[in-house]
Amino acid sequence: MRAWTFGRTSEAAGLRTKQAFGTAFRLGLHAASLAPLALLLYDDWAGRLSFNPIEDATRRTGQTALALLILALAVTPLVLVSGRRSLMTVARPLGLYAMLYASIHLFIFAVLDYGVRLDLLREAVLEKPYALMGLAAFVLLLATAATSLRGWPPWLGRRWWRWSQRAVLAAAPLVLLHSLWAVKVITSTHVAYTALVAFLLVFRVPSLRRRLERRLSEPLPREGAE
Amino acid sequence: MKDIDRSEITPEHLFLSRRKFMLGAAALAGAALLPGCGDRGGGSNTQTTVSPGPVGATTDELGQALTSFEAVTGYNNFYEFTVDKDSVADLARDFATRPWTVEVAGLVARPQVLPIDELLAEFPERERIYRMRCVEAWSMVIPWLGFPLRLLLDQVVPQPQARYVRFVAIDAPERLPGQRKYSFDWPYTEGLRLDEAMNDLTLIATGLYGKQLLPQNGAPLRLVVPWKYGFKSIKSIVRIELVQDRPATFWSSSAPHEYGFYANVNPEVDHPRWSQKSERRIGETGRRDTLPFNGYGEEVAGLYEGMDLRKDF
Ligand code: HEM
Repeated sequence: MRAWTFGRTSEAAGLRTKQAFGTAFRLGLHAASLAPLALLLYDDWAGRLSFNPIEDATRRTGQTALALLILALAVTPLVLVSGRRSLMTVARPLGLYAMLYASIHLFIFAVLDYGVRLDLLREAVLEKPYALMGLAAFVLLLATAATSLRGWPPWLGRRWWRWSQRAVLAAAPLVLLHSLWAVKVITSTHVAYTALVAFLLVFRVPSLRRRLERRLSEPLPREGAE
Repeated sequence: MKDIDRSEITPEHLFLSRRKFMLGAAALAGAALLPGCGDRGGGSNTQTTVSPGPVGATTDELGQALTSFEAVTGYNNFYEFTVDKDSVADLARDFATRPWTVEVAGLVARPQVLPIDELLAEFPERERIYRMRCVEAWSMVIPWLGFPLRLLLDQVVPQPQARYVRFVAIDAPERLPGQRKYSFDWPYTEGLRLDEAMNDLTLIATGLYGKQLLPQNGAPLRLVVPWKYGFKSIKSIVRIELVQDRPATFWSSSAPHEYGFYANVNPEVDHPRWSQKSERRIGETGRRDTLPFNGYGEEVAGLYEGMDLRKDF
């Protein structure tokens, strides 16, 4: 009896700490994801951006979008390796934040930089491979993001939905190509990011994934499954 | 060191707009108004001759405002230090530009080795306000001090078989972190056809904004060829050589399909990876249309008559 009561209390306490930890973790995740944007706005306000502020802001938002995208891609491998299935819930906010930064990136490009001059934009985006890659990545991210929201369009068939959830996997390599083509010299950061994305995508190879999954009590939902 | 107050010669609004742009709510609200911004390029183009203004002029001959001193000396493409354009000034701060000698050699009647201060004494500085168009599609308007390269070449007397001028920049990995870090084919080299080099626009710059050149801008002397992309304007020169055959140049050797020998500013010939139709003027939001030969067509288009500028980019 005593033991039973004890068990109950400690279990409840444990649950409460766990919940508190979960809340703190989520808040931290949102704060960390929004920090680069806050810093960008602050640096702009304080006049601490580059002398070429548009390029600076384009790069910073692009880099943040890519970093968040990579973190989102890292979730499944982390769960597979660590067995901590609860981590799975961070994939969606990370992906949506990547989308937010990609949208700001595009806004700066189209509105602040090109002033919505359609002649220049058409030429710059459709005729240049790097911007075209960026656009393709953006469309894929948009598809994933749109179908991640609660109440994704019911008219969208299950198959379609599954594919749009997997689109995020293709977006990462496209963004890498996009950023490599945009710059004049390739630095070690580019190489590191490329290696990281390749490494993370390896976990999506079905045979490896199944092998790792066997160590978990039940299979993970995969991209494109609830 | 007390400098002249820059606000005396640079319009106030440049100071206010520098390093800032409308990213916040203002941007969203004003977005609809922006399309007009891109049309400013060359709008007031009534005067076409390049007449160097007096020291202290605030615009170029097209009426385009000078880029602020802070931006000109704080935003530099100088890979010998770093590829980060905002960090070059910091890294270059202690770069010693004395002693410095410039060797003028090759196919000349009177080769010379000139200590920099002798050279400065020999060729009086004058101001030239030029637009500078980087191949990365940004641009500035800079009040240079210097002298036409022609004066120096006349003094050494090119031999008749000399057809090109080759420039070599400083090679000092122990003092130039970028030369240690990046595996390019150092030192930086550039070249011009002799008639390009003899054109009156082609400048050896030794200063800007009324004072001596700073290391981040290529002190103690650099080339300025305003109708070509910025990378042709080689910095911190140690050797000028007259040669018979077209010399290899830094960027056209590093990426021959992307950067040519001529590198004339040309909105009709894109970089393989990005468009050259428009440019971002440092200190402004929005884009300007890029002008053929960077707006110096009247002075230089004749140099390229009969050439296919798509092939000879
Ligand atoms: C139509 C879509 C896009 C356009 C027009 C575009 C435009 C640009 C431009 C102009 C640059 C070069 C900035 C500079 O160096 O001056 C750039 C770089 C970059 N973009 Fe995009 N972008 C697009 C989509 C995306 C998306 C969806 C992502 C990521 C999710 C992204 C990530 C990046 C990254 C990482 C860089 C390199 C930043 C650096 O390291 O310098 N872009 N983009």
